[in-house]
Amino acid sequence: MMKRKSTKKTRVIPGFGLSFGITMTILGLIVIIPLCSLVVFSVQLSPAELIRTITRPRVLASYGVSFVTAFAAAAVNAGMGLILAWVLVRYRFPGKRIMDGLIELPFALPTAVAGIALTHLTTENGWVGSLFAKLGIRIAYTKTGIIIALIFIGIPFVVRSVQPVLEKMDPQYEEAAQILGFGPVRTYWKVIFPEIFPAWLSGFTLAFARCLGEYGSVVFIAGNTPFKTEIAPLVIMAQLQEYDYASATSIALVMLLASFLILLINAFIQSRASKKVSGIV
Amino acid sequence: MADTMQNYVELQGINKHFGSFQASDNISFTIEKGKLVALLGPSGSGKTTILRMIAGLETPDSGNIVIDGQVVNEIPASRRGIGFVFQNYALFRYMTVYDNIAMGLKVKKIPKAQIKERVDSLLELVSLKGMENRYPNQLSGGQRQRVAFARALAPNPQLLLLDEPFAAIDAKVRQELRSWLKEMIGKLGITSIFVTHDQDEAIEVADEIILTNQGHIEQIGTPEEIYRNPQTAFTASFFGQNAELPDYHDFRSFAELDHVDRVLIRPEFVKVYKQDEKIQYERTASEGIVESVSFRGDRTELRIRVNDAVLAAKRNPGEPAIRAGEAVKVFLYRIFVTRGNEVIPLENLALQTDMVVF
Repeated sequence: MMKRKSTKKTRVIPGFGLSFGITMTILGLIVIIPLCSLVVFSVQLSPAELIRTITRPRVLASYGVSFVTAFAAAAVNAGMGLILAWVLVRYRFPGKRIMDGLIELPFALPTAVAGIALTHLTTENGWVGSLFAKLGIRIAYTKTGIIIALIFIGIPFVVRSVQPVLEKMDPQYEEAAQILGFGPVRTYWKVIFPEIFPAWLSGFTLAFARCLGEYGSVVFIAGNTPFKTEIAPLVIMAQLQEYDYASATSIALVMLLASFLILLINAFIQSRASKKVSGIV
Repeated sequence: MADTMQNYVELQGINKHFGSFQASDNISFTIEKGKLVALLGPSGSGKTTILRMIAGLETPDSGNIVIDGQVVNEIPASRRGIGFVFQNYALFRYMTVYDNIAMGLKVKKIPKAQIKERVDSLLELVSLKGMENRYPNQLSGGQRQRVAFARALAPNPQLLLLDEPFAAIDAKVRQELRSWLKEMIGKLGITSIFVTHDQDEAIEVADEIILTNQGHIEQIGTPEEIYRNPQTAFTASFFGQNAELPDYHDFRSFAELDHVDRVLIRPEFVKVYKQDEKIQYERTASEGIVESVSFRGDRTELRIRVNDAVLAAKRNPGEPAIRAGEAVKVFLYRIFVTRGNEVIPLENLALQTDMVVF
């Protein structure tokens, strides 16, 4: 299990046993035990009950809302984040450092604050909402509103994943493409994009997974109409408020499995890409 | 086209600044068709900038670049008919060897079958048959360089530019690749320019050397000319493993000169004798003490203190061994004396009198 290369090899941090022990303790306390408790609470229900709980029409609809909005937000972020990262790396302009700093704001801000601010802006009386209301488009209290809140939450993931890769990219690749006569489109798709793809995909999945679980910013802007704008985390919350822990945890378990699956697919694609680069196919 | 020795590449008064740094200072030279030319110089001497301007990756501030009789200043890199081998090869990591070589042809919308034929023949040329489905990171350094070479040659360029082509390869393979590349370029007859900071590499591989220093050209010539007859102080000090003598008058017997700046001596100008060895020019030899001896396989390198100077010298394996601390006799054949930017080679007068006698 443990790989020790030689009996006496100098290490920067002493003791594999100690550092591995600390790692496992932290992971266990903070991640594994809470997740296991989810399973434990869920199995208090009989299999039939469990299935019934997680397939109630209202619950199913909430999964739908959660997945569709999270996916849409992550997709918008994937595009927008890529452009943002590109602009921040490739161009020089006044205020660049401020813009760079702003990217992390969604991490720092309490999500409820973002939710309230966005709701305020996008209701039919808000600055932005009133403009769209004239066109007959409602933002707050619709799926569009949820997506906007989730986009806000997910901005940093794609930008911060792609940015370092773009920064490190050797300009010689593009020069080689230039001399071989690649046009800008071909250079981008054949040379630059394959290089940033793994980072970009991982940014996208992280944003997607984060958006699936987002609660704070969404509850205000969503309006929480069952079957329409009710997200899964809200349904869980509602179950908890009714002291129905078993139902709450079973629905949460579904979300957990979904997130896990997404991250797994990501890891699979990543490893395929890295195999080409590391030379072990 | 009657003139077969035509100039294929010509630079006319090229200047280039990066901010306040002058990378090229009025660079002019011509390169004949089919020649293999080395742009040689220390780092920061502007050699890579020259190569990149010829390729079209940089634009000169002033001056003209002419390729095949046409001013190419305004012509994009892809239409200059050049192939470029990058220092780190810049192979596309997510493409197979085949795709890397084929990409430059696909861009030109050449039929698939024709591309395959061309790539196959190039793979054969660089002896990488059977590797076409590998990714660059599955290849050794030498193989990657050959892929880069094949990729540059694929669109059939008339001019091949190579930026430090051997820098990223370990010493043993480098030696093989040097001969391989020289042979390959000779076989193809393609005009080639390569950048290097390694004098041995330039001397061994190139037909002609352009020596650059601080943005200007110091000297242009064949390796032999430039090594034997340096025209500038920099050239004299750049080539060979020079030792500098504080005062050459301590050594007999060289012509007396005034206003001397530096006195340079190369190891091959120094002959070392053991105390009991017979010496032809006994009268003009100096006494020295061996400071260090380092064994280099095919030769032994000595550092010998003579008066205030430390000389480098070589000793062949066949000759009797010399140990550190030993007292030896040293005879200097030749020295380079610099005065301003001028170089004056001085022969030992003992040799000249000898010539007269025979």
